[in-house]
Amino acid sequence: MKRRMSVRVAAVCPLALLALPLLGTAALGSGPAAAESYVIENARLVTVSGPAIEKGSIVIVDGKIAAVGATVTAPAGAKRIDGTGLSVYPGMIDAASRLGLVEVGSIAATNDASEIGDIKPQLRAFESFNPANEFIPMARINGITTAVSTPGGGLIAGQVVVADLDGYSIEQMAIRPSAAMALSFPSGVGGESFDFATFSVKRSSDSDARKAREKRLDDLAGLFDRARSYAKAVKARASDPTLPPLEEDLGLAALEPVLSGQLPLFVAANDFRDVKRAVEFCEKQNVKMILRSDASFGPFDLAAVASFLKEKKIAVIFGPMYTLPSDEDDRYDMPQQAPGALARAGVPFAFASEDSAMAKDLPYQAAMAVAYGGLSKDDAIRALTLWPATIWGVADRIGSLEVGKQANLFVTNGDPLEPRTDVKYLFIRGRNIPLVSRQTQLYDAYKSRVP
Amino acid sequence: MIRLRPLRAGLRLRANSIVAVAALAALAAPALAQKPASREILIRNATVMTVTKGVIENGSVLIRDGKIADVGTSVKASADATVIDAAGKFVTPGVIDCHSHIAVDGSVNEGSFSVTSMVRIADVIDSSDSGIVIGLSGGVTMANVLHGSANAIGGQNAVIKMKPNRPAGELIYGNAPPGIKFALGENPKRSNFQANPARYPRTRMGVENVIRDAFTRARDYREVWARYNADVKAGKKRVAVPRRDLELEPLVEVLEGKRLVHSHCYRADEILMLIRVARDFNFRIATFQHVLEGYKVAPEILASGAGASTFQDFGGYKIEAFDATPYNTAMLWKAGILVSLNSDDGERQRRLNTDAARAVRYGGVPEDEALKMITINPAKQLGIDRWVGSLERGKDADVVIWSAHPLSSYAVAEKVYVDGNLEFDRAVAIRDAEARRAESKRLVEQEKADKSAKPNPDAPRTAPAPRHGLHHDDACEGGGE
Amino acid sequence: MNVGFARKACVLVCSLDVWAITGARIVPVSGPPIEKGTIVVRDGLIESVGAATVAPADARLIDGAGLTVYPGLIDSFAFVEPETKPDGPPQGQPRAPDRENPPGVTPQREAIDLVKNDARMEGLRAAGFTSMLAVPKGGVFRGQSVLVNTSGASGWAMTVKSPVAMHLSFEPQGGFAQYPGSLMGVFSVIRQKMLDATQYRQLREQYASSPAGLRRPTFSREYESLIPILDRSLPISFEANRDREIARAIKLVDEFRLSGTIAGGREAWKVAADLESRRIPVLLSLNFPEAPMDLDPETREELKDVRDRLEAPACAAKLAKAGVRFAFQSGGIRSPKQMLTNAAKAIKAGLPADAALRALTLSPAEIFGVSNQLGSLEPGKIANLVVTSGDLFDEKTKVRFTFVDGERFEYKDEPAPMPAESAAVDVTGTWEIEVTTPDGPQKATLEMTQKGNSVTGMFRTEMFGSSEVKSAFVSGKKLTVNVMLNIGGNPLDITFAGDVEGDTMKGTSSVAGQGSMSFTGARKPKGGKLR
Repeated sequence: MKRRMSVRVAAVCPLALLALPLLGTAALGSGPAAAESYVIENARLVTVSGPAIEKGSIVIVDGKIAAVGATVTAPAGAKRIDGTGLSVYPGMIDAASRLGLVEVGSIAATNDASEIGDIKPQLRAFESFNPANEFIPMARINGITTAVSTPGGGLIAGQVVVADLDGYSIEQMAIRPSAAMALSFPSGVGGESFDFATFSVKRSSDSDARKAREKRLDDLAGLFDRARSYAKAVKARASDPTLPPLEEDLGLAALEPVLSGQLPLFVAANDFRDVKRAVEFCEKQNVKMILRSDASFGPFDLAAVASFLKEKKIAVIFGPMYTLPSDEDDRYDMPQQAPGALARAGVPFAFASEDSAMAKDLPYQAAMAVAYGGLSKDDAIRALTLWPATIWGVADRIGSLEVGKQANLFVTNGDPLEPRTDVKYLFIRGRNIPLVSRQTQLYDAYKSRVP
Repeated sequence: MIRLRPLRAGLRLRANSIVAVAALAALAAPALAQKPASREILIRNATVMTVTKGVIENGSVLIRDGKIADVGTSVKASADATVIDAAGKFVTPGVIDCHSHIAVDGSVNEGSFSVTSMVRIADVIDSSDSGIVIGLSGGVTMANVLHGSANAIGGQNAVIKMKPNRPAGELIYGNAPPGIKFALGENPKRSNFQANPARYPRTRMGVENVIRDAFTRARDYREVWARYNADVKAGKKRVAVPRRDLELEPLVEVLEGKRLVHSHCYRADEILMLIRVARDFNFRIATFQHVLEGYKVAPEILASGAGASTFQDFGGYKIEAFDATPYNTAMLWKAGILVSLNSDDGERQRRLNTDAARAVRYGGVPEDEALKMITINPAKQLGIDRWVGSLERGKDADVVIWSAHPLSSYAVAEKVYVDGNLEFDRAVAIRDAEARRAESKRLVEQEKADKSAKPNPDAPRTAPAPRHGLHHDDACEGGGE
Repeated sequence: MNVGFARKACVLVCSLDVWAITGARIVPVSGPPIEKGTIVVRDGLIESVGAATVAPADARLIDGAGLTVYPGLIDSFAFVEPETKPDGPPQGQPRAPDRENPPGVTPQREAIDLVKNDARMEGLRAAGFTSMLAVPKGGVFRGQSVLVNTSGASGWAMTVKSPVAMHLSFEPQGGFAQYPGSLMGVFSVIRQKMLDATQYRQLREQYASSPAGLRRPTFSREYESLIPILDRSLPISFEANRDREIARAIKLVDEFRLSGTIAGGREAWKVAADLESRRIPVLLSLNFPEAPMDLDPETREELKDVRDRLEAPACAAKLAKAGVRFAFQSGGIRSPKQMLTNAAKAIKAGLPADAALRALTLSPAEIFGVSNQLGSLEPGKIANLVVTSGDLFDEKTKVRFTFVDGERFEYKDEPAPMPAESAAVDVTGTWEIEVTTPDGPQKATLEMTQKGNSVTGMFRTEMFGSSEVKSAFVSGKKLTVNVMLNIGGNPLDITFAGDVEGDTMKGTSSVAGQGSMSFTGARKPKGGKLR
């Protein structure tokens, strides 16, 4: 009731809208409470880690999956949900997202994803994350339970956070406060770009772009060298306190986990030439790499791209599938071919919205790779659940319906990749989340307007 | 006299004279070979979704001379008809996108003034835009190509048939009444763009004033010409001919009900504002476009007689889109408003079918009504439903064969006919892409082989044109489409 | 004779004179070639031409054996720029867009006021071009063109016809905040201006027929200049290359019943039927697109771009076949020689050589309405000719003479470049030069600075003033210096070629086309004011 009131106020006074997200209405009525026990019975269980159980039950106790199977025993007092005709899936993961970081895209005041400056390894998306972001409930309604929220802007944008989409604070929500370092790989491919500053098309030749890229990479390698020296100096002082004091550098310190192999670089590169150069660079620097791709690899055979990635053991996060080919001569559904090609080659990958408001479309984006690109429906589900969990190092906690994992799951009346399908229940860490968002609230407030 | 629609006359002339050229152009383009439209095509064994006359299981559609000759379960075709067995497939009328910016050369915004009714999209149609093929690949056969939303009163629209690489005159749909773009709210206010020099208006009340002022001037203009024409008719010799004003003429046409107003809008209050202005000047608004807060003022929209053409499930990207809800469609529909779903985007255009599916999920629009929202409803809003928008005998043969139910995520348009011509065939499109690559490679090698002459330092260099990428409302904060 | 190494020499012999080129191959264009004939030029006109033509007694003779005479070539479209940009926004402050007077609408601008006999004309002449259509640069309504011959005392003196056409482009002028800032806006501007001119004409005619009781219309240079367009007494030329751009121009031609011309026309072959049926001629650009430089070998080019450049040279042949009238234009090529190179590409792509020649001579003359003055070798026509060492489109062919309005320009072979021997001497310093002339010794000073082989410096004389050394270099012990003096408006091209020995040198100085004289030089002691 309280919530409906606030929406009515908004309708009368649109300016109040600005305040809404700050008030945190989205989190009202949600957030971890004492987890109850549930049993969802007689449902189709799409475990992802194993074969689907056509008619089975799943038990949720203490926020975790306590049992999965055709026959299970539920603890006394568990709330029963009749799953007849319904399907249960592990919660979907938006493998590169702006959820929590961006509210209204066009208003700088509500954009906390892109910091100014070029090299900012010390920045953590964790610190920007707004648990009351209005788009989180909208994403949940479509089955998304976890987001890998990623900062943007500059060469090194900062560190990504893996967060469950329920909680009062990021401390509660984060699964991994820092899961990777986001790097926007400089492109060595020339071409045209539209420059809004001058409202004109800028051209750069291939060799100019390549030279510029190599210069940037030299700088980056230099930065990494300094960070290594810094780490060494810090370490030396830890064992030898007589050494003169060292001026602290938060940026260099933040690079240490990357250079010591604890934190992967999350490298955005699109053209295959850039991808190859990025892999070469990371190999030389001896750092782990996850590739972030817009699925247009440039003028290259996808099979060749896939076999290269397979050989180099590079996992890929695909940006939105709502993209067109980068080149008119390509087949019209070229970007949608890439996931299928990688699946056939056995390259792990995951889907990502790279957005906040559009995060909810993640399952439909994956469906495009099925419809156009020959990706199997099962692999599409994997690339929304277990694969991103594995790539982001959280498969011990989420990504499949397995005993002991967090109860991040959702219940549908059909194929979750179909837009006509409804999500009936959604659990995050065992909490039965009300499927309410600003959008449903507005519907409720206006559907029977009088007069 | 005010000559109305001089442009259209010109186009007709051109359309007649250019038939021979089409053949030449077809040779040059890697497009599908254009078979003469006179041959019969029979699509049979399909689930035929007529939109207006129900769904026919195991049905057939017969195309003859570019028109739908017959639809039903027992359709007779001549012996030499091309027969397409569509067993397991779904056949629908072509999707009509009521808001698009594809196939336009140069900017879709004439951003200089707050009123740019003198500019015409029809002047700058570019049929080589790959956006046409992308749209076809999603079953779209017609698009309402609109001016951008940088101005309170923007330019004149062009309703086109999706015919790639054909002379512009062949794309422009002659049956469509002319229209014009209006825009309210942030974009004409230039809220997300530092206009230099600053441009009036900066507020919604200023937008209202700009529109009211323009129609006041148009009313005066009409009066001046009426007086002049009466004087001439009365035999007066000493009267000076008034100036023809291309800014005001289309607004006079709006006042006379000869030009459809398609108004970009988001917020409920600005929707009501335009309804008031239209009432004061006694013109009808054909469609509110986007109309994301339409659900808040559905009764008022219904009473105004305007249609609504909305994004099914796209919002949040700016403050005036923050109260977007996917239930908007259902609420507008339930209120009795004529609703269509549009793309405003070169990529979204190819998945309007799944947008329609979402209208089913959010608020329970029946499936057949959802399908209407991308076919017959936009046709009605554009005043062309007599000719297109459903599978009915005598209508234009704009027909799509889908691999699956068109409201499914997995549905892919396999064949798309426009005026009976197979303008898109998925298998051919894929083959053509490979052929283009091979041909390009071969030609470059050939070119390198006879590279005798020194390069000409002054030569223009062939380089890919910038993609027509900015096809949607907020992609370009400066423009706003 | 050494006549310099860096440029062709040309000598003005006599502007109004009688010339007979005898025993040459003559290609009149208007008729079949004459394998061996004589052409007589008198007082700027062609007096007679033919196999049986006899050189008149007063004619100065040019032995045409082995040479070919063609009508002078015409560049049918080239921009001339005003000294100052029209309509420039005031510095520093953005201008509000202007609906009534948008930037780039200057139909009243006339190229006749902008053209002059400058280095470009010299270059055109040297390549055999004797006429050029000069078009004002910039704008939507760019202004009115002038057809000039490539020599003369002034732009007005060079003029053959003015105005020839009104020139339009579809270039948006304004950026985002100015009008027209879009391609659509350009069409609105064009239409509105045509309608305004129509109203203006109507008001003016009405007033002229009987002024009583009517307000006097305000005179406007802009609309005055547009009336001939509406009357079809002046053609309108649209710059358009893409098929759809040309189609847009044709639409305007139809809409306003104009006498249209297309300039550029790269894809005109795709709309040839529409052009042919309306008798719209094309001023076809020879500036064919070429491949991007510096392309990564792995970059795949889009087919349409590759086709674009492969199809461009074949356009002329296709237009010829379709019966579309066309003339060749430079289209931004700065080197006139390159125009002929590219015309040869059009020939290779299927255009008959005689059609290519016609597109550079008689066809533009016809399109511009001056075919009774220019474009072919016929008695009574203006004596614009080019005399070559062979076939015009052969890369090796040299221009020997160009006649512009009967004025003869002679061109000689460039000497082979000097061997690149490293410098064995340093000529840096100030040298006193003494040239032995028939009128006695003449003194001059050469101040030179040498870096490697190349030398820069100043040349000073008492009588003829000073000039920067145009080019100079040292090879071994040989110094070559080229200077250009301006003597009463006439250029005097002098080359010194001498052997340097310590602080002295001696050699020959030659004035282009006038023979050579010996000279000596001595270096002033160092420590002087120069060093």
